[in-house]
Order: sequence, then structure tokens, then C-alpha cells
Amino acid sequence: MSHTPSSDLAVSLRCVTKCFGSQTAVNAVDLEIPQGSIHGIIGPNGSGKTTTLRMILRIYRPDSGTVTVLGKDLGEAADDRVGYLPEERGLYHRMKVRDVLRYFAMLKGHHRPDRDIDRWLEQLQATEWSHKRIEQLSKGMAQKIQFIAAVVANPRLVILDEPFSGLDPVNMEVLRDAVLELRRQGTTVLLSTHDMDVAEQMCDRIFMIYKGKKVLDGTLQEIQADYGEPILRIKMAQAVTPNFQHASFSQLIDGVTANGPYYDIRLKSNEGRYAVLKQLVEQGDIEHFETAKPTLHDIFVRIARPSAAEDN
Amino acid sequence: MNKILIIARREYLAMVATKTFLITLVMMPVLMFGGLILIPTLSKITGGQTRSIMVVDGTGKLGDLLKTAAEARNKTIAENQSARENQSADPMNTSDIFDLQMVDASTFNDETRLAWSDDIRNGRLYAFVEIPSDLFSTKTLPTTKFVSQDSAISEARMWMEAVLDPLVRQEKAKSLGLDPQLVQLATSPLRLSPTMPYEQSQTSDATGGGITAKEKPFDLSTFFAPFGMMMLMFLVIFLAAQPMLESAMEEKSQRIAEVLLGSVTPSQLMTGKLLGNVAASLLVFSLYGIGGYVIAVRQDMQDLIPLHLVPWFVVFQVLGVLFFSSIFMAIGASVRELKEAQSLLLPVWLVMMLPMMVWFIAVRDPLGPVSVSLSLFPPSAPMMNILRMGTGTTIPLWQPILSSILLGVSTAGVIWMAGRVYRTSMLRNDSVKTLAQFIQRIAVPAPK
Repeated sequence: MSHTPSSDLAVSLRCVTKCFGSQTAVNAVDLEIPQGSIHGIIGPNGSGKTTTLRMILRIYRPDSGTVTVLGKDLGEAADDRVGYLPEERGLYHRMKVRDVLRYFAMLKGHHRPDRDIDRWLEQLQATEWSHKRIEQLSKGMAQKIQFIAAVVANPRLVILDEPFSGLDPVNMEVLRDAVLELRRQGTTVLLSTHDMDVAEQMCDRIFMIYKGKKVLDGTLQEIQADYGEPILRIKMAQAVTPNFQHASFSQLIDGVTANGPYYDIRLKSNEGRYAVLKQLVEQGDIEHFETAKPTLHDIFVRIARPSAAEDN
Repeated sequence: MNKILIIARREYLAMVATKTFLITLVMMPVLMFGGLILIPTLSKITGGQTRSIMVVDGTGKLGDLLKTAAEARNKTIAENQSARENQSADPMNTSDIFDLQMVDASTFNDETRLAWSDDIRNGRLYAFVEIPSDLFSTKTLPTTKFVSQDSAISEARMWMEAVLDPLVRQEKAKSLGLDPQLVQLATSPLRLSPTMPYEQSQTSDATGGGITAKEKPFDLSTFFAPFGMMMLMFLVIFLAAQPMLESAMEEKSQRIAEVLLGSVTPSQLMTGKLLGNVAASLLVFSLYGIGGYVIAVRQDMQDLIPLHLVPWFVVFQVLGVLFFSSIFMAIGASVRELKEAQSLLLPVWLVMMLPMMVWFIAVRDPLGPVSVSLSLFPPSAPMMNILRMGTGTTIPLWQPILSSILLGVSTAGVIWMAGRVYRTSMLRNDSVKTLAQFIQRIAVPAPK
């Protein structure tokens, strides 16, 4: 990975390790997040994402290595320049929307937050809910309020854990615009998600942690170039079901994923695509074929699936 | 504004600006002291009945006197409504009307006894009284019977006993040729007057020799005033500690703690929460204190309110609230649901209730070993010290001072231990199931 000058980094983790008892949650992880970027952090459940985020939030201290956030090494005090949105929950149910936003803003050192609260409520189309109690809000609306709570104090780094969870497509679009707007204003966004489409579409860089170790780090293009062979996507003529169990395929393909009428065939090598096509033509007419780069989803599954199978 | 104060303010408002707080504020004293109000009210409802009582006067001298006394009583109750209300305030007095009928003793026999007993069982008659003919005998102690189905402490029996007793004494004195008034003086029971130690008075007079001593009141207030103060302390601590449990549970289960700990340190968070909690408890004390004082003034009982104990009350209250709120907060941080907290709360409740189990002993003997040792035992110190002081007994000053120091040191220790549990537990998704696991969390340092 190319090293960015440290002054341009919002977050820098150098050889960070964190253990809980005998279990190593994060193992010698390096991470650099340039300022003003949207950085995705992905990984299966229990891979070390939350521990990494908590170290950046200064809730945990690493056992070894250094964590630098916005130019400051880890200290005792939490950083007011960092906003955080936890997954789904994180609000006092019996408090009113405006009161809870004011409370979280003041805890971040923003003592006159009303103007910013109004601005964000308006931007996220939630003004009419400002005097409602949190418990009266729908899940999606509560998620938007949670987002405002994370950004209302104008932080320079925002950590968002599954920010689009529970949102309908319209509200998802509203929130997505808000996140992109944050980047335009120079705010660094660290986005933890299980939604690979979101990571692909929104993130400048993507970092994947698995079993406590870094397994991916770079732009989508870099990851696609570095990791995995292209995919052969085909669509057979109607009434033709390809038989991928055929002996001739075993040397050529790694696996197949059905997506409606399409089949995404992971090739063992790019050179094998002609042989695969030839075999399929013998089974029936092919209506469509293309070679595609592996999606983040494919790469994620390719990394996580073998171990999951072993665990099972 | 300092972050600790911001947290304290929210905690304070979250506690006091809720319907639950207001309802609990009203309901708790009603549940605890409601009996004192309920008994006279129920007595008023059940009172006012006419009680038919047959009187068989073997002496031939008491029947008319009894009837005259009953008629005077009935007249007073009927004519003087305010007097009736005053009587109703006494739980022993139900203001029943007594309809006494005199019966010739010569016609009274076992057959009559059985017939009237049936009438009593069937509700046609309330009671009958057998006054033996040799009641005035000075050589024997004959029995006068009050036959009824009602309780032995029924108003009618107690009233009749109170009327007959002096009459019989008088008659016996007369039969012995003695002056009844002299006999009454000679046989009056001795009363040891409870008196405070003497002290030099500001203005000496001829008879007092310059020293004075206050007589201690000896009535129900002797017991109930200190009990009331102890219960006030319990209410204040309970109303403060319980919300801390719920608040910590909510912050854990809703992952609010994670957001908060991204803004403040665990120490700041816990300190702020405890400060807000203490402020809310002082509000509770002020409301109950002012309310109680206003009621006492209206009832002309302000002398019962020991205003000089207010500073001690505040000291023990603040320490007690910090002590128990820290424990409740640590328990709240260790569990996800209220039912999971019950087993951990049980030992805390038992310790908290200890003074209630021994309050009567402490009121009777505030300087005894049980009272002194429990007032020095930190968990029971807040309630026990106030209970003892409330009796009006002169407690050696070193005892409340030592007690508050011990409580202060223990509170600091409890806050430290609770802080360890709080830090360890708030970010975990699991629940502590047993006391042993809870203690283990104190021993194991929190991840940093």
C-alpha cells in the first residue's frame, strides 16, 4: 500500500494488536485513512471491526502499536472531533429528538447547537419530528436522528456503523447524499457495513478485516486488480440448464453463483474462459456472455467462505 | 459547560421530569404511611352504628349511672359533629351509639344467657353485661362479664370498663368508710416522668435554681417520629437508586454507552450520573421535608419536626445515595433485563432493609449495642443514625462523626468497585447471572 504523508491522514493504525484474555481480536493491523475520504470497513461478524472502531474512538487502548486520530496519538480523553453512529440503537427512548441532539452535541463541545440541529433536521426531512420522543419514531426516522447526533457537532471524522440499516430506498438516498455532502465539506467518513453495494458505490477506499487481520485495503479497482480472476457471466437460452458438475469443468472453474437467469462463473484462470464457453455451447444455446470484474461481494465471499465452512 | 455537569443535568432531568417520578413521589408515602390514614377513615365508615346492649346490674346501683353516661355520650356524638370528627381521628373510637337496656337481675338465669347468646349470634343483640351482685365486696374479686362476638378491644367494652372502674372504686371505698378522693390519690399509679438532662437556664428563677430540664413527650410520636425520619431516608435513597439501575440498563442495552464513551471517559460518565442522582435525591428530600413541615404546622405539631437534624440528614443522605446508587448502577450495567437484576439486588435490598427490622429495638434503646453497631455499619448507617437521633436521645457526637467517616470511606470504595464493574460490563453484550460473577467483574480489570 502507498503511504500517505501523516499530516494528510485522518486515522493511522500502525501494527495495532488488541487482545481480550487469550483471544486476539485485532492482530498487527495497519490502516491509513486519508482526510476527506470515505473509507469502508468490511468484514464478517466477529472479525474485529467493532474493536478496531472502538480503538479509533478511544474507548479501548491497543495492547501494542499506535493509533493516531486527526494527528493526535491515543490519550485518555475522548476526541470531540470524532462523531459516532452505532448500529441501529444509541438513543434515549424517552427523550425528545431536539433534547437528545442537543445533549450529544454539547458532550462534543458544541454549546450552541440549535442552528446546526435545525439545518440537519431540515436536510434529512425530519423537522416535524423535533418535538417527538425517540420512542415515537419509526426505525428509519430514528436512524436519521442517530445520524444527526453523530454529525451535529461538526466532527472532522465520522464513524458510521451500518448507517443505512432499516431505511427505505428513499430515505437511504437522502442519507447517502448527506454522507457524500460530508465528504465534500472535507469530513472524513469511516463507514462500517455489510452491504457490499454500498461499499462499492460510496467508498474511496475499502478495508477488510478478517479474523483480526487485514486482508484487503485499497480502492475498489486496486482490490479487483489484486484479488481474484475475472468472472464469466452467462445467460443460457430458455429451457437450458447448464450442468456445471460436468467433469470437464473441474479443472476450469472455482465456483458458480446463480443470479436469476445469469450465472457468474468464477474461473480458475482467465485463459480458461474459452474452454468453459466451448463446453457450455455443447450443452445448449448461449444468449449472453461477458467477462466481468469480481464484485466486492464475490471477493468477500471468496475470503470468508472457506473458513466459515471449516468452522461449521 | 463541563461535560460532567452536562451529564449530571441530563441525569437529573431524566429522573425528576417524568410521570413515573411524580407518581412514585406521591405513592411511596401513601403505601408506607397509608395505614395511619386508612384506619381512621375506615373507622369513620364502619362507625356510627347503634349497639344494643342489655345490662344486668346485680348491684342495683350501677345500671342507671351507666345509662346516664351512655346517653350523655350519644348526645355529644349526635349534636357535635366536629367532636365526632375529632373522635374519629382516634382509630380506637368508632363513634357508635350505645342503646343500653336495664334488665331485672332477679329474672336473669342460664336460660336467659343462652337466649341472648343466640340473639348475639343472629345479630339481634350486640352484647349483654353481667354485673355481679357482690361487685362491691372488699373480700373477693368477682368477675364482670361483657358477652359479645366482637373483639376484646371493641369500643363498647373499653368504654364501659372506663366508666365502671372509677364507680366501683368509689363504692368500695365508701363501703370501707374511706374518703373516695383520698383513696384515689393513695392508689394512683406511679409515673416516672421521662426528662432530658438538666442544663443551666439563661434566666434563673427562685424555684428552679437556675437549671432547667425538658420533659420528654411520651406518646405515639415518641415511636413514630424517628420511624418517620428513617422511612424518609429510605424513600430518598430508594427513589434515587432505582432509576440508576434502569438508566445503566438502558445505556447498555441501547448501546448509548458506546456513543457516550466516544465523548467522555468512563470516570466522567459515572461521576456525572452520580451527581445528577444526588441532586435529584436532594429535591426529593426538600419536597418531602417541606411538605411534612407544612402538614405539621397545620396540625400544630411542628415541635415534632427536629429541624436541628437537617444537616445530619443531608450528610447521611448524600453518602447513602452515592453508596447505593453506585451499586445499583453497577448492577444495571451488568444485566440486560430487569428480571436478571433481581437476584443481584436481593442481598442489597436485605442490607438496605436491615434498620427496618430492628427499628423498634433502636427506638427503645438508641444507645444499646445493636443501635450503635448498626449505626457504624456503613450500609445501615444513613437510616440508623437518623432513627437514633430522631428519638431525641443525646447521642455521643463521636458516633455520628465516626459513622459518617466510615460511610464516606466505604462509599469511595464502593464507587471505585462499581466503576470497575461499570467499565467492564457496559460494552459487553452478556449478562451477569450470579453474585459470584458480579464479584468477579470487580476483580478483573476492565479492558482499556
